[in-house]
Amino acid sequence: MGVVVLLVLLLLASAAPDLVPTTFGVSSHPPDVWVAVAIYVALRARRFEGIKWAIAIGLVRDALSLDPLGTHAFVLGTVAWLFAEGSRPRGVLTGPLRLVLTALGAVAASWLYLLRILPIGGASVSVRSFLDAFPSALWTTVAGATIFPVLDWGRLLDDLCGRRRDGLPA
Amino acid sequence: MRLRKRHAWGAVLIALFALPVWRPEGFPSVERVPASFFGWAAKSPVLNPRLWRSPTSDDDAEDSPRVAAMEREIGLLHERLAEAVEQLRSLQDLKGGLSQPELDKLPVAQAATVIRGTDPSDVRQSVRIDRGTDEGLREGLAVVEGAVLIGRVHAVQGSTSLVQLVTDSHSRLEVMLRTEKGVRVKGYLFGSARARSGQTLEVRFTRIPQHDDRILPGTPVFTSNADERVPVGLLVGTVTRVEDPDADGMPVLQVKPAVDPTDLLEVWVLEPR
Repeated sequence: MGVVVLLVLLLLASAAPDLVPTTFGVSSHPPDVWVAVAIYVALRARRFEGIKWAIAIGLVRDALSLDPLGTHAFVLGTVAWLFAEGSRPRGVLTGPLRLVLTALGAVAASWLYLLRILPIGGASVSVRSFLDAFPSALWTTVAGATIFPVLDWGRLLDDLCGRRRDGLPA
Repeated sequence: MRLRKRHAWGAVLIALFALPVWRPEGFPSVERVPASFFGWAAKSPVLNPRLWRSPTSDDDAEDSPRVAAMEREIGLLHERLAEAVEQLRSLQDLKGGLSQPELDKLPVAQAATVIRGTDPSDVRQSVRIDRGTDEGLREGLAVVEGAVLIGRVHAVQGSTSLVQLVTDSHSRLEVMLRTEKGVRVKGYLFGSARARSGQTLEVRFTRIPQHDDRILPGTPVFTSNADERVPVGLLVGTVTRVEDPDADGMPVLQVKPAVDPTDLLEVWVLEPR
């Protein structure tokens, strides 16, 4: 079931920029649901389980984008690698702390992407590009605040995260 | 130092970092699978609220799109007039006859609907249309709205295609425009899009032959005849600013796109005969 839920979330992620309203400048910096889902999985998964799913999310994003395969996979995989629980059990992170980490992760993903595309050329990366990460991270956090409780309540991705449906380690 | 799982995943990430450098063109056969699935989902009105929008909605009744359309028309008429004047001059010189457009050389136009208006990446500019190899599309074909070039087909799957917009940072296109004295000059169009705001274009490597000639703001920019898949004379945008920091007669032109790609719903794919 986790794979099905993940596919639905990725469908939502691909459609999100077209669906957001133009008010408050949201359409100029739409929420990055791809990053939000990757961070959710990374924070909820046991050990390093979240990294492979973050990489898979990034590969799907690359397949739908003009960017070459591996670009977003590297970015999301690295963010998940930074947030991975590791060998020492950390438990499930929820509440405001998770939202703060989501915002930080979204900014990190944006900057990492901009740094990643610099060597392969073509993009006109500027200081403004780096500053644009903050409003995008804000709306990504808002989207996360909406989606994460639903995923928590239904334990919808727990089988992907290596946790039983009651939230305990598998 | 013990090799831990974290190190192993780090090695995987390094390999992913190197992957776009090793294969910048990607893996079309691998990418086709998820792109086909997501394209199928995007074509379904139930799963894609973007398709609920009508091309003739009330938003189109506002003045701003009509004004923009009139400005495009004026730009096209300006170019047609300049072409007619140039033809008349060559006729006077050559004392030949007019060359009529050959109907069998006109490209074939295929209608398509934009099912995704943005690229999943923050910086790249693309749209996805509901036509693919099943309808005979191939890479490099021009995608237009009316007489305005929107972009070119970049990747083709079974029933959908990814169109690279002219505003994309990796987009390159040879274009032509006229100087104040009516001389046609060529240049190269570069997309310099930033994160979905401030989309703009640049034309570089334009050489003005006469030192007392110049390019004025408001000059329309058209496609050139460099690529057989892109018809000549399609409007791309309008010059907004002319900069010549090196004072070498090769100015850099800031160009405003003729169409806002985020509002696109229906487009045409042109296939040369």
